[in-house]
Amino acid sequence: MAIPRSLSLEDWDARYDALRRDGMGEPWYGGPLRRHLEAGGDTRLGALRFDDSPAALRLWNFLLTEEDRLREARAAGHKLVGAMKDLGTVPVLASAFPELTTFYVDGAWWIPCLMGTAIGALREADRLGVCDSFCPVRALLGAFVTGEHFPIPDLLVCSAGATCDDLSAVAQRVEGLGHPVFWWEMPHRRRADRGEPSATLPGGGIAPAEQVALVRDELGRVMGALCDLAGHRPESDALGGAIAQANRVRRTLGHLRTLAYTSPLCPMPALEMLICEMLAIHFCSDRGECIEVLADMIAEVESRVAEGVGVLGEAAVRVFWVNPVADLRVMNLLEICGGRLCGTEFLFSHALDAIPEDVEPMEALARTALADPMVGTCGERAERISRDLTRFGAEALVISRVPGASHCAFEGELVGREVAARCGVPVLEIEVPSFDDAVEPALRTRLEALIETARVKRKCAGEPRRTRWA
Amino acid sequence: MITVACSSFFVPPEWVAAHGFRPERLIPEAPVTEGCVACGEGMCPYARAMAHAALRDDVRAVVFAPTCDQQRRVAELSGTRRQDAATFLLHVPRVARSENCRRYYRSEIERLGRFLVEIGGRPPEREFLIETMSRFDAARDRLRRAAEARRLGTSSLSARTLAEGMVRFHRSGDPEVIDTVGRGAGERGKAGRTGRRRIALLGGPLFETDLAFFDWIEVAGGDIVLDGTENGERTLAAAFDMARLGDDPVGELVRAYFDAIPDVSRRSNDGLLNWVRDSAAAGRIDGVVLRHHVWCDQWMAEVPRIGEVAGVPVLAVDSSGRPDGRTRTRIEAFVEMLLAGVGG
Ligand code: SF4
Ligand code: SF4
Repeated sequence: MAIPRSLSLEDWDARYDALRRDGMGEPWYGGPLRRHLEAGGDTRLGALRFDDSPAALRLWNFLLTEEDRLREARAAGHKLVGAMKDLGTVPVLASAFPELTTFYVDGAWWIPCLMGTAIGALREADRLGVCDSFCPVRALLGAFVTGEHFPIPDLLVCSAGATCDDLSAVAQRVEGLGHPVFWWEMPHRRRADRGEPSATLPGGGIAPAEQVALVRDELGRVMGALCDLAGHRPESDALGGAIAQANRVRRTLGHLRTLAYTSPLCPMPALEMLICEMLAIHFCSDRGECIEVLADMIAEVESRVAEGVGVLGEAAVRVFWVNPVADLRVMNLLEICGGRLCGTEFLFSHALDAIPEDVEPMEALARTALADPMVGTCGERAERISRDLTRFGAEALVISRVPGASHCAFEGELVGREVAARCGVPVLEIEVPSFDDAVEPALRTRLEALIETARVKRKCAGEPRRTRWA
Repeated sequence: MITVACSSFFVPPEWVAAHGFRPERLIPEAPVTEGCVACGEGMCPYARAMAHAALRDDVRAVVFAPTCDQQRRVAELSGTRRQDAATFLLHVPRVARSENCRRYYRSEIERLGRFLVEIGGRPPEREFLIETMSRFDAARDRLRRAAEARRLGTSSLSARTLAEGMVRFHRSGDPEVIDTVGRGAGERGKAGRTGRRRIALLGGPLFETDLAFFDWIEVAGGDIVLDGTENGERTLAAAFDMARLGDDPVGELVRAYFDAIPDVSRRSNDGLLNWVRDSAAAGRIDGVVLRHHVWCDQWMAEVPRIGEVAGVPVLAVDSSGRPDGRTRTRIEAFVEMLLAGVGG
């Protein structure tokens, strides 16, 4: 097997031609990556480094054609559900209806990451008074005005309560533009009082049964709205089937993460792993295809692991990453600085955990929704991060602040201190603004310092990491 | 009497009082700039000051009822920092029109009751609860009437005196304190208010130092006839229905607080917008001064919509600290513009 290479967009042009000449087959949404930049305006692609595998090509193409899929779904008579905030639950609920297609309109968070900041969506958000003191999710508001990034959904569903203020305020403004929002409540997850009945959540957390009941009842209201939209109730076993399908994606992804984050040599770059994880939230609007895309990625990773080849040297420092990055280049930068991704918490760990299949479906979804790391305390979040960090054997923690995000003012310090105490790893808190070349040197220096600290710790521990191939 | 501090207008003080505590609304005097416990970049100054205020050791417990993400995290900080671990977080559902949420708020009020008993309070006798609720209700009624009298021009109370009275009521946890509102203050005669522009002061919570706004607006030629900030009349619980109060006092708390208080945190927040629209019309408002703290997404995002529904010019004033000269100049220019009849 050839040693995997990191490719620029230009490199991919030649690589694509070669793969096609060699007979590479592609799904309908396939094609060279460059077209997303030239026709789609994803200008930031030009600044990224990519994995060179056909599996990664398919992954990127799948991700970057979601808008086309949504428009086709609508043309085929599907009703579109625009979910907001819960990250992982409403799409499962909606997939019990064959004629509904769900996507996250707050996926607009990524628009500046792919298109840069000089875009109409941000200009419109500014014009509406939602400036850059909000996190990048403000692009969502502008996108509703320009109508350029996704089709306007037939139903908007948003959770409120123990959520960030940014999205909540932006979604409220969307409603003010004349797009009614179906709100449902997500309580702040608390510990059960002494003697109070409780339920175990996916991921190992615990919540009072009363809170699970509230979320279940609220999801029941969401289900009612979906029934109204579809014009019927779901088939009797449809929701159970939807959960089983979602779990297929989650288990596949779980396998991929374990392989990628625990293999002695890093088999897949951080950037592609981030994209894979994002698929768990709503399957990029096509669950079946999502499973195929992930299966390709697993096959690629498995063969690299089996052949003992990786994308980075074996000295790469194993880094656990917290929060999504508003500039995707930073995932590349981590590797340039000598790190490799070994575990993540991108604010949606509850979308990666399997949904319980041994309880009634609405109860299972309520428990899953309540497992959201953002609805509980920073302490619980730190606990989960510590567990995963240990499982993946990470040697350092990066907490990446999202500019403007209501939770970031505060959580970094709490989470960082707690994880450092529990796991004894060096912690770095950085802020990653949406595409700002000026901050790159500073970010690089700070990441390099972290990597160096982790290396020194490794040396002091006196245990050079031996691998099967060493 | 032992004090229980409450962070929010969604914590009914009569419920705390009926359990044998003095309910004190936490209203920080001024922003905190030194010895910061929650000083991360991007932190709302009010939430930060709240984080400090919650660490006071002269209160038996702190009850948080966060209406935003930052306050929720401050509650967590308080829970980890207070030695006595006496922090209670009451989840106020944001979704306004859900029967599930109403039920949940009620259940949270009842859970708060159990907590108060756990920290040494007594479960209220029904008659005592009703009597306590009635006393607080009567105090709020007087405050509301005082505000209405100012709007009608039949009161000589200044806007600042009334605002201070509201703060005193929230802080004291004693409905009888209302008797002292306005006492001893050098009041301006009713005649002095003619020709002034009628201003609504809206927005989130004010520090005590922010009461300077009232003076500035007045000196510039305005008259605050509607105080829709977090300590003002907007967040006073609705009047209790005496018939229902006898049948189900806790249900009446739910109705007067959860159902009735219009706030920017509610989803949908059309309750707030309707309140602004109706109050602006009824109060014949000429202009709105909307005060929000930096990093307060909820109020910042709603500025344009509040302007739309109020139908009058809006001046949004943000602040990361104490009121400053720049803010004063902007307020003066705004009131001057209204006096000149521009922008209306
Ligand atoms: S990054 Fe944070 S603040 Fe922004 S939408 Fe996501 S959870 Fe909310
Ligand atoms: S002013 Fe806004 S951000 Fe600050 S505590 Fe109040 S609601 Fe939260």
